[in-house]
Amino acid sequence: MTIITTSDATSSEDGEKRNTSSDRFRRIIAFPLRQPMLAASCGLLFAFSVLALASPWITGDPAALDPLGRLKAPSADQPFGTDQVGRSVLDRALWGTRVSLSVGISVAMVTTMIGVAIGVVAGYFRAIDTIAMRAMDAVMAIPAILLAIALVALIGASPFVIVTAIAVPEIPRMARVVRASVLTLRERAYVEAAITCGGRTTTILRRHILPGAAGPIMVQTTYVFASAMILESILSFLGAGTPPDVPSWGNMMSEGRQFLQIAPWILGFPALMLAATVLAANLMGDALRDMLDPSLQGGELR
Amino acid sequence: MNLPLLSVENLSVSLDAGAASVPLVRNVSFSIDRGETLCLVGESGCGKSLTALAIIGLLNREVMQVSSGRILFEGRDLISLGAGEMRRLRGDRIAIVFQEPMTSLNPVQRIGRQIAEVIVEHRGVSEADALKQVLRLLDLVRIPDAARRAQEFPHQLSGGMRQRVMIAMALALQPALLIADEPTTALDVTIQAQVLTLIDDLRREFDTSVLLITHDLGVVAEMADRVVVLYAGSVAEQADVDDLFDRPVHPYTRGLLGAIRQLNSGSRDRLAEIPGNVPNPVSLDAGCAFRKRCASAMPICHSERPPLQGDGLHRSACWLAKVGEEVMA
Amino acid sequence: MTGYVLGRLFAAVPVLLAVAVFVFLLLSLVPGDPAALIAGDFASPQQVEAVRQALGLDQPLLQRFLSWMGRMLRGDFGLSLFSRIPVSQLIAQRIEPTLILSLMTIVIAVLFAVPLGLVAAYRPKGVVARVTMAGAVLGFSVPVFVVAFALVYTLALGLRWFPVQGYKPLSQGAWAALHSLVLPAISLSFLYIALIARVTRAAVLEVLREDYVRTAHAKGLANRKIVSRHVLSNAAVPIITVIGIGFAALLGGVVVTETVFSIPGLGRLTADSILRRDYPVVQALILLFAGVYVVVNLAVDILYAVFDPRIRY
Repeated sequence: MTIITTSDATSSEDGEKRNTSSDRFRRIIAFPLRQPMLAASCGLLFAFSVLALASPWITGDPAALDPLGRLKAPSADQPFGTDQVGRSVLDRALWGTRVSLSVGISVAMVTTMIGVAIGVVAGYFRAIDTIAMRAMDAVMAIPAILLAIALVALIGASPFVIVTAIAVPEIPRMARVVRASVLTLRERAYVEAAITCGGRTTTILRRHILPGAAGPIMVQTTYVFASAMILESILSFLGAGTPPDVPSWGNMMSEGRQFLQIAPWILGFPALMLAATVLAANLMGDALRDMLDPSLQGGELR
Repeated sequence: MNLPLLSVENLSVSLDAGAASVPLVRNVSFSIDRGETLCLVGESGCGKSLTALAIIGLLNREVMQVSSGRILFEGRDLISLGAGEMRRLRGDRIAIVFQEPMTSLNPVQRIGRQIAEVIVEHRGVSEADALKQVLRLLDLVRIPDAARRAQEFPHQLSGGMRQRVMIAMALALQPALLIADEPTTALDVTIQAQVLTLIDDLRREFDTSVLLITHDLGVVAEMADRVVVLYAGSVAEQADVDDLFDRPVHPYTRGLLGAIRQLNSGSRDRLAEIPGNVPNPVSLDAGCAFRKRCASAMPICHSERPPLQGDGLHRSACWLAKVGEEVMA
Repeated sequence: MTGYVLGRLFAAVPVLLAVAVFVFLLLSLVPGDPAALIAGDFASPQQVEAVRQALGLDQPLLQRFLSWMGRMLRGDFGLSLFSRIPVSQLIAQRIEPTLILSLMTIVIAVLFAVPLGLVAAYRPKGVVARVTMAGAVLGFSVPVFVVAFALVYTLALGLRWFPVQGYKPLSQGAWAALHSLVLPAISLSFLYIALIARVTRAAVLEVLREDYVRTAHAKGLANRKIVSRHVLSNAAVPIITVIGIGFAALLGGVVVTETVFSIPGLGRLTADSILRRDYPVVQALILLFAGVYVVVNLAVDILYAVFDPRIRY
């Protein structure tokens, strides 16, 4: 395996000039072989995204009741069974993909933007570092779930509030990751040189610091995406999340808990879908991290 | 008949690199008598440390293995010994002092306890009794204020002190064989001499045999009874120390000696050096490993590896030795 | 050593202060008039005004914060809006199951995670390593209530080994109390095990590369002794660090687990109070949880000095 990769790299360097489309094609084909975990998790997430986008067309009405077909076990007709009011669990689970993924993506974006801003400022400007990091410590001291349900319950559940409530407890970790890489990057000779030569701070940050920190940021974003989906489901489950009439995985599981004994599929299928999605995101994060820094193979603090 | 304490016979150690196995030590043989100091000399990567680790059974088994040969110690073959038996020998009959005193001690344990540990393990005495012996050992390796030092942690000690602690640990049970793997390389020059003297004094006191690994011919001249010169995993030359310094046969040995002689004479000329680099062990072929750096290489050097030959005391692996005495002038 | 501990204590104060500010501001974010909320739905405007003055809500923000802090520090957390019981009394009533549950979870997590991580590091290609590492990623990927329901479905509903829900107080016997908390503790420990096992493996892998481990082998020590005296004691710092960091996740998980298993503990109280908008209780509980987290991590910091003598000086 190693030997194959090496020879592949050499040959493509040799043939830089004749980097034809067939060569690129070969490299794309070879990608899943070199990074099977990354490829598989990307594929799974892509499939879920397609399902989420296509669900209005490929499923029936998720709110359609069928009083006669209540609590039906999975069958050829209803592969995931039906719930306590006869709604199709499969249809609702597919719709639930939309909620989870959109919350996950929004939280990942918000967290990344704010966390990177705080991390860069704290890492680059010494004066602000202590204050910013103590504030981050304080937020981290409050359990994420607690903070999120408190925010949602106090302010009221709207998509904006839910995303904010989930993002707030995630921001400190992102800020810490970014700060740590900025601190090391700052000491690098080329950054020192740029500072000494009187480069503008914004230029230095954009040209030298941010590209260097991009790897860890990407990895952390993936982890935030994963844990945001878990937090969303917990919020919905506790009744402080997505409004009950929206078919989200958390709502479905919350409703299904009363019927756990007689109809475990109501809770089980959304749980499986959620676990698969979050697992794919976590594996993607791990694979990205190992690819960026093989010495960390298999996990340190996140 | 008087058997040597340790005799290494045709030892080969190889690296398992996937399907291929790369020999890093090839057919090395030497022996050490009781109370004798043998120096294993060579550049980094020549297989000195691997040989030492093979003797004490500490090769990283996931990647290295002894592919052939025997290591006879007090009449037993260490290679065929089980892991448990080998473990009982280590620290008791065979001990080792490593190159890196800064990192070779456990940073979170008091040094007294670290030394006591070896006594408790092999002698089954209580830790309190072992700690009493530790104080005597710390005195022996000339660490002042032993009672206080025993209560300290490694980071509170200087490099030279830590190496003395390592020596105390190694000599705690008066082993028959002490392996010292470049014990002074990481130390200040002034401390080096003290540590070497200490090892030599203790050898005399306990009649311990010492296998000293070094790349420093100055150390060899000071310490050795006999010398084995390793090049690219094989023995290039071996002899009594005086004989080796007076009549080196192998061009590699002569190169090494040339470098040190010029230093000593204070010559301002360009340092004599051996041109070229140590060959990659993967690329070794049937010829002499040294031929590409050798000024006297002959056609036969390219096709055939020279065997180790000579009388019982002075042997070398060079075709020149075969051609005759006149070449050596 | 004393200096180190004092320094750590001192460093914890601003964090706690920041938490207090945060909690205080959180409630200022509430839309509407807090005085009206506290006075209740059927209060007359005069009553609302009386509450406003009694609580000093008509005063400037900073002054309100200071007097609030003063009351918090004296242990006066106010009355629950829902039950009209003093908050401190409510907390005292509910603390027992949460305390036992947390301790059980930590014990289970450490007992499983450290050996698993250790074996995974020693035999990186073995079955235990693969299963542990795969299980660890899974542990990060499944919400705690899903684990809880999976356990309830199999062990409680299926095999009937444990009660489906509820808590038997200590007054009915220690064994009954522990038995009623086995499933909640296992569900709660899942994530914690994943976290600790991963860190243990990474830390032990790092220690195994150290020269002093080679020295320990050169001394002829038995493997068991090398693990306990040289490997674990050096890997301890990252392991206890992650135990401390994971404590926040544990406390959050308590809220969910106690809800799932209907355990009358602080977590359930938190969830209920938040949904009932019982602000004084919410404030006090968030402060309490954050305080516990800070204290646990302070203890971790102090433990560093026990495990690593280099930190003391």
